[in-house]
Amino acid sequence: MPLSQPIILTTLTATTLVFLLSTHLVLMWAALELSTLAILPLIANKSHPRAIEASTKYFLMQAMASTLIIFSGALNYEMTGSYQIAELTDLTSMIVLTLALFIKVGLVPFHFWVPEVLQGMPTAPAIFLLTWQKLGPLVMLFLISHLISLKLIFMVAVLSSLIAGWMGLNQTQVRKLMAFSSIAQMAWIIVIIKYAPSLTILTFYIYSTTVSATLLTLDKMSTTSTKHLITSFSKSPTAATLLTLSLLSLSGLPPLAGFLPKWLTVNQLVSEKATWIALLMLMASLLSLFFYLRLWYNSSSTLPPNTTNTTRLWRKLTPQSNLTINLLVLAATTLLLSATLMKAITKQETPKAK
Amino acid sequence: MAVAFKLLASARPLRECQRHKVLHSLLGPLVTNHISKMYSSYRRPGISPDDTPVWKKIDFSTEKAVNGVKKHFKLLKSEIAEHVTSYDGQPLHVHLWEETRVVWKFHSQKDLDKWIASSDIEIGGKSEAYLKLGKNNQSALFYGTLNTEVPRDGETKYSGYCGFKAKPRLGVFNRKKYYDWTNFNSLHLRVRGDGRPWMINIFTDPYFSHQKDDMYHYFMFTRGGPYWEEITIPFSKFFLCSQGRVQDRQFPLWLDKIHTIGFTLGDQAHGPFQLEIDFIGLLMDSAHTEEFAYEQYERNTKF
Repeated sequence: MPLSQPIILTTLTATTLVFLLSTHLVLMWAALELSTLAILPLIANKSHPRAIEASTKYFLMQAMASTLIIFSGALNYEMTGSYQIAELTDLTSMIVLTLALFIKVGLVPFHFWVPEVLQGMPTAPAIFLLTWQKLGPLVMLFLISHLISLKLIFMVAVLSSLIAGWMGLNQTQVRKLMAFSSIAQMAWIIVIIKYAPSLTILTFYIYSTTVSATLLTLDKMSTTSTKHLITSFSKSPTAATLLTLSLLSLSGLPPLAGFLPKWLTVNQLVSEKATWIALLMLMASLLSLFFYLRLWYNSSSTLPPNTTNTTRLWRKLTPQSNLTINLLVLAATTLLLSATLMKAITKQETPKAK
Repeated sequence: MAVAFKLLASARPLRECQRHKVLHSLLGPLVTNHISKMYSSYRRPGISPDDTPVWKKIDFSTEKAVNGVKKHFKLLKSEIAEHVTSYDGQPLHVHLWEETRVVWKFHSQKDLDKWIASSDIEIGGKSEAYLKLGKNNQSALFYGTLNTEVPRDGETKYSGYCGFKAKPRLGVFNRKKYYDWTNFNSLHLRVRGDGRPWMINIFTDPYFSHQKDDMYHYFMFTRGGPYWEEITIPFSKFFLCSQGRVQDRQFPLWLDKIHTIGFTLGDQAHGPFQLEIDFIGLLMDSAHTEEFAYEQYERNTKF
């Protein structure tokens, strides 16, 4: 893709920035729609029928969600006379908007499009889909979080974590597995949105970094199936090791960065007397841990019984891009900053004592 | 709506200016039992269209419904257990290390019932095709007579084909179930043919209705004679066709969602044919590194 690539990337960046900077629902809706349209060529880049199928499914789901967003805006305008997101007070429009945002982000029960779309698209653009495209809807959820029912948030979060964990078990396709992993991670992002929105932001940041690192590494290894991972250690031990670190970070194991948001989220939930929710989320994350460990086992813990007939030599260091290395380092080591981050978050959340 | 239509149709001025006929063409599907299909379907020339209402075709039987519910919930339980405990019905170590897999073998009538034979009889042709178990129930024998005589219905131009294909797998609640062959890169068959060229068809069940005729094909040239032969065809060799026409834009066959496989004979050679198959399997040939055999050059210039 020659000149089209910078245009698409610029559009993606600009539309999301416009979305983040605006408070008018119609402008936010327009920015979301343009962002959806901009990513479609990235999904359908290879023009394979499955890629076209993925882009069509993505477009249909996102367009439906955008329709619901503008519908909620129109309903709110009818009731309150305002399109400002801060003045979203009508209950019906708030419910419609919440459901639309759940569709956009891919939470249960609107999660079925995520694995189908990810399976059809190349691995590298999947990073945009799983991180950048979720930024806008999450910010919108953040802005209306004070209006959303807590029970709804908890129910969706727990169900997302459980169902994504179960559906991700014994998947043979890596991209589908990452899709289910993303749905489960989204659950952790939204479960704490009412109590500590800054934790939501931190979780999203660490999730984005780690998922980007994982997908970039998988893209470099040209792996689409769990079976293909078993030769990765022979071909490139460095890539396999770095993949291990990013997978363990995604699963939330200390001392890696992914542990921090889970720890702080559970901490916050328990302090808000939502112990059962914290327990259910932790139990559900064990399912995700299972398939992350399965990926780690396939990539780094096993050697194939046969030699590989590839042109790569044994023990040759695969050239890695700087971006992958930087993201992997961030994914693995941000936990070292946890003390500073915790202090910043608790200072923001606790009211100032007088 | 029907009442409105009747009122309109019976109004004198409308009758006089034939407007109700226009209305009928617009409202027809809404007021009659006509089921308009959004996709084309073949109807043999000379046979009247099937206007039976859908509800008349359904067999309303309480016993059947209860048995169906019991059967499907039992299947659901086993499917959930299979999903949780295994990779596509196999333990992890088998999934990781397997390089060969026998998908279809023909040792009993139950194995044969998974296949269905067809010929040009459906379009009015005269070919005959039969599928039965071979000697000692060790293979499947597809035999018959290919007749290239074109049916005289004024529409059909070509005739003379026979084929058999695997019935699609159905999961719980009759959902489609696909094969995941990503662990392999070749199709491996043990056959005893008759020297005729056969065509292997792989259907991947595309999403869009305009792609419903898309299929991947490759040829299987058999030797005649008493000896068995093992044929290996890499999946990278399969080319994309739609309604039998080779497409200009070719794409590799994705192996994660295979619906059915079939064999067709249409070599325009009038006469008897026979194909005996021992098994149909899959092979991971590490020496075969080709990803796709066609259209690998750059089609668009870079600027």
